[in-house]
Amino acid sequence: MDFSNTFFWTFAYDFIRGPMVWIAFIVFFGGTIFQIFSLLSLTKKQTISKLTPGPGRFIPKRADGEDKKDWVMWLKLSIAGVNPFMTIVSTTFHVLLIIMPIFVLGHNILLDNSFGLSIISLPEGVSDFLTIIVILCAAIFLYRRLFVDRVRAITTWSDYLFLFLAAAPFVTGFFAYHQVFENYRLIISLHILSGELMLMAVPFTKFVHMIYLVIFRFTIVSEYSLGRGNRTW
Amino acid sequence: MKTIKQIGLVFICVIFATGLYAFSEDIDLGGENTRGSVMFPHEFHMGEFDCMECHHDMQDGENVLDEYDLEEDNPNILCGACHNPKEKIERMEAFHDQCVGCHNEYKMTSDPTGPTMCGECHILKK
Repeated sequence: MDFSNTFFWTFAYDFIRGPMVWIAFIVFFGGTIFQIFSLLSLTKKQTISKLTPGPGRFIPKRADGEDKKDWVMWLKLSIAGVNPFMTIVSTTFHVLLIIMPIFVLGHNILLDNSFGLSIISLPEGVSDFLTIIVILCAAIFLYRRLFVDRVRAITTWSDYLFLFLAAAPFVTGFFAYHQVFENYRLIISLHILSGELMLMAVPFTKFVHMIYLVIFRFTIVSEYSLGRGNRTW
Repeated sequence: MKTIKQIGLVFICVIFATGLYAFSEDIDLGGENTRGSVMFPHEFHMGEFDCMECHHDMQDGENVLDEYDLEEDNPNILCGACHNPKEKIERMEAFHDQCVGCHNEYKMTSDPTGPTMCGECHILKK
């Protein structure tokens, strides 16, 4: 039986690249708005007389007695100073994970064809390279979860699941672009499906840190808050 | 029998004299540098559609193309003759709109339809 011609398969293919895209975006944006409001409703405004900076915002004085801030020491004490490699890997992964898909040529051509929305795209070779970087970063995360004792100790099965879910759109996208497998339809469907699942998972699973990071850092007082947090638990 | 042959001959003469014969090869529509070239099965489409459903010269929303201009060696009937980078709808966009657009329209019917995702047309050479 030719798998690519069965009724179920053609239906699934059309559903995944049609209505499912809308469902995914509605769940993602609806869920995001819901989460923003639910976090804000859990906190309340506070009046700040004097904000004491947390450890992350504390800048030590120079040891040689001069009354100057020691930025080198500050960097060394920060997470980036303690673990620079993982800081670079993690930051690269997170930035590319969000920014890169927006500027992939294939995505933008589909957007343009559907809505006449034409945005700037990365050259194909650059997207390809950045995709490999994202996959490598994910591989480093996986390696740590598997082989670094102190990371493995706090790893549960769901951590693997979400790492897989985050990396899947990039791996399948890479395979689809290079047409590694004979059945292109299957790979491109898996690519779209994994992207949709990831989007839908954002507001309701641990991926919610994508939304919470922004509001938490900017509105709620903590050791890592950016700017004046004027809300508290 | 003789008359049928004569009518047939006349038809053949008319068709070949006006150049209205089937261009039956797959046409290489090209593709951007890194994507594979699109091999367009022209003959396959000729069986199902009227020439003027695809070939067009739009002026004020109307297709004013003369069907008799559709000769194989006429450079003006090539898509890129009008759809060049200076035009509002350049070549790549024209192909994407026309090919994928039509394939998507046929998704809504019970008729079979053509590919709609990038790599189904842009097939990389192995």
